[in-house]
Amino acid sequence: MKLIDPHIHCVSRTTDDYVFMQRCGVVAVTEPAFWAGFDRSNAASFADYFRQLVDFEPARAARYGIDHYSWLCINAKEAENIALSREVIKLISPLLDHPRVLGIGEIGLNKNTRNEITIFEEQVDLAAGHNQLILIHTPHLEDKHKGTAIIVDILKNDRRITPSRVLIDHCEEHTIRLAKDAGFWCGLTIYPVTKATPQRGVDLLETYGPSNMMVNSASDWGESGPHMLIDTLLEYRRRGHSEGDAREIFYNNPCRFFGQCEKWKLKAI
Amino acid sequence: MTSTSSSTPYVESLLLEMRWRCVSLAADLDRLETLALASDHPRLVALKKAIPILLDSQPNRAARVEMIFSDVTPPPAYRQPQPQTLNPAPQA
Repeated sequence: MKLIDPHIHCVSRTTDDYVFMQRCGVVAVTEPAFWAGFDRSNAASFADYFRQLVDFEPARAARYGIDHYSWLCINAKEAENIALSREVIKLISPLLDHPRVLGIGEIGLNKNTRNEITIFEEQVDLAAGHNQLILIHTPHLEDKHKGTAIIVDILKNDRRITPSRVLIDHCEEHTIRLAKDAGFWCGLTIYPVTKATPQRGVDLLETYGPSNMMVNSASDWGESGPHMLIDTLLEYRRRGHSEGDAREIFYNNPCRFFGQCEKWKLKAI
Repeated sequence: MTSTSSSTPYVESLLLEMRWRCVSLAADLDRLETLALASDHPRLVALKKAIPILLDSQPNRAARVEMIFSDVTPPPAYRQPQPQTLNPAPQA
């Protein structure tokens, strides 16, 4: 069965992970720009990072038969530094035509501060001005509900934003309705400790149905891994759901959402 | 332990895993007592509020537990976005 991991930070992963994904049937991934685990000191670091995302990583993934796309942004954590953020945002516009760039992401909030909100709004403006898809990062742990509510409120009140062109990621039991009821796509992130387990992910799929839902691993430099996508697929199948139903969630839905950008080449089966 | 007639391998597996997680949680609480953690530590207070929900008879336990662990203070003031155009440029 062909699979897509809609959110994974390949720059932080080893080639062993690419081999593993290829063996498991992963044929495509998308990689949002994110926090590297430390605050970068200047915009030039981001220029190099973006080059890694749009040029080097797609070539590395291709060696394992995996189609790699990216999203560009200044992440919510480093967005606390407004001056740096605005320098980084200037770097993004010229790259939006790149054939491997699907849109703006993962933008959102981290600690729900005023500065983060300012830069989030400026990046929403960037996306709206260039008619880009948007991938949203929602905060961690105790900050998630408030942050998700702020993000949804801002997006719903911006008439330029079409909810079906926005993926709100890292949804959990207490936030998914905020996103889904407003018509946004929802991402379920299967990640140890701070996000959902495979079992909880499948609970959410069963409760809210497969429409406009995706599952991802968000594998990064922390304890995480592409196996979380596979574990969730296995849990879904273990509960008696058909391979066809699984294909809708783990392959076709990503194709439907990402396919709104003409650069995405894979088609729903 | 024998299975009931209504049980399935999936349910048996789930119950065994829950048993394992229940014992783990009990051991975690035992361990916390040895660490002399302040009784008003916010995460501990939240945990003590959340645990009774596990055994109540109401639905949506996971979402209700998540809300106990959530910051419910008001957000900072932020402006509502002012759309500049309703017909953005086409995507490249």
